[in-house]
Amino acid sequence: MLQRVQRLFRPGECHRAKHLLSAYVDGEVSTSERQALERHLDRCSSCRQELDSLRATVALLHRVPQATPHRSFAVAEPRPAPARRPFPVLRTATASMALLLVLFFAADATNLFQTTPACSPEAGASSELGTGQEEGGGSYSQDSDTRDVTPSEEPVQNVASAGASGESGQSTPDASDELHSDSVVVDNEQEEKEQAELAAGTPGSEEAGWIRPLEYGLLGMLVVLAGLTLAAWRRARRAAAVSVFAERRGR
Amino acid sequence: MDDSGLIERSREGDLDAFNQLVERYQRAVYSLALRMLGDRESAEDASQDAFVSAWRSIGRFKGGSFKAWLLSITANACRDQLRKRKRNPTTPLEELLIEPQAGPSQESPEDYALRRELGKQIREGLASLPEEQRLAVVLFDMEGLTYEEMSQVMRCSIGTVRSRLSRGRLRLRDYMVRKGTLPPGISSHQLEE
Repeated sequence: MLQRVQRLFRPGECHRAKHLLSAYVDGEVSTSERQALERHLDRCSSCRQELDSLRATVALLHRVPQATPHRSFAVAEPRPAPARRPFPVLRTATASMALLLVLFFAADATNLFQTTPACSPEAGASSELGTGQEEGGGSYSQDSDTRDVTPSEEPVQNVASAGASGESGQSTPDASDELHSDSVVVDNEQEEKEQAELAAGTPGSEEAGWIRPLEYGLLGMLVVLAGLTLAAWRRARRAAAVSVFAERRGR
Repeated sequence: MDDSGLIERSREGDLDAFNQLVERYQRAVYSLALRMLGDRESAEDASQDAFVSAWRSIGRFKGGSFKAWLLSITANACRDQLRKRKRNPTTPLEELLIEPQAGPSQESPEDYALRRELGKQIREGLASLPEEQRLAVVLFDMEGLTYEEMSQVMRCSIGTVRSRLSRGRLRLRDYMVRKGTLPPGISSHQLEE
């Protein structure tokens, strides 16, 4: 303990003593600090003088009376009901919308909804099949005049595709037989079209099509909500300032 | 009714109960504002702002010293007023007069004059202190708060409270010594290494 006390106040360390004097006057120093300070004061007359003048200052400050206000500060306004204010509701809605938008962006960025073009080639092909067949039917009608292939030569695997060709293929009963017989040419045309459409990214964009408008829609709603929230916040601040001003004027 | 009962009723929206608290604490609030700001008009504005803020946010009062909580709000209102003053420095300040001490009228004119002169020097000395040191001196030596309550009002550690109070008092002492009110001791500047 003695060593610690000696360490606290080596000779010439009046500045450390000075910073403890105020708390010492208030009785807010630890036992070791008090012992070290008193030991230092015993041998340092200038610090004793410092202590005396500090005590005189504090005594003077304690003589200052409490001020008396010239008017009452009683509050006149009832406390506003928080539920009636639109600002908290709008603030929550804006925050939720922002969170939702971030989640959708994150999901889109991580391909959670599998929105990249490589996701489902079968679906893309089947969706294109109907269109291709319809066009194929049309081209067949033109080709049927120039080609003469017997129904017996019809490949088995083309029955289904012919059936899927729809009513356009059946609109001319004679031509329906020729449609099957001309399926090799039609398939080639379909493949070319599909390849062209795949190259243009059409099937993929159909899959991704639902998320982009949703994101833009959410972004638009977020901008509108943020604007409304800002307006509500400003109105609330203005109303608060006016009520305080009116209260002061009323007194 | 004691403070806790009035606080509870105020939380439930009873404005009359809150205004009873205002009556009890308005001298403390106004005194702090006046010592911090120096002029009556700013002190009244800060006090009214503090009570309106306290009324609106009394639901967030979590117990402890109500006076310390209220003075914390008052200190914030004073900081706002000081910021306004910095933005608009051309605002003329009224003469800063210390309140006369109420008491028997046996006081001689000389004593009265001496008391006014002392008050003037304290007021000017306080005005010369940095904001946070002034707050520490006013809260402890004039409002009678404890170090713990001061740390709540000033939102800092007790060590910081101790340091700010010490520096504020020493600066004020130096001011009074320069003015001849107090006998000279060791000047703080000599020790401020």
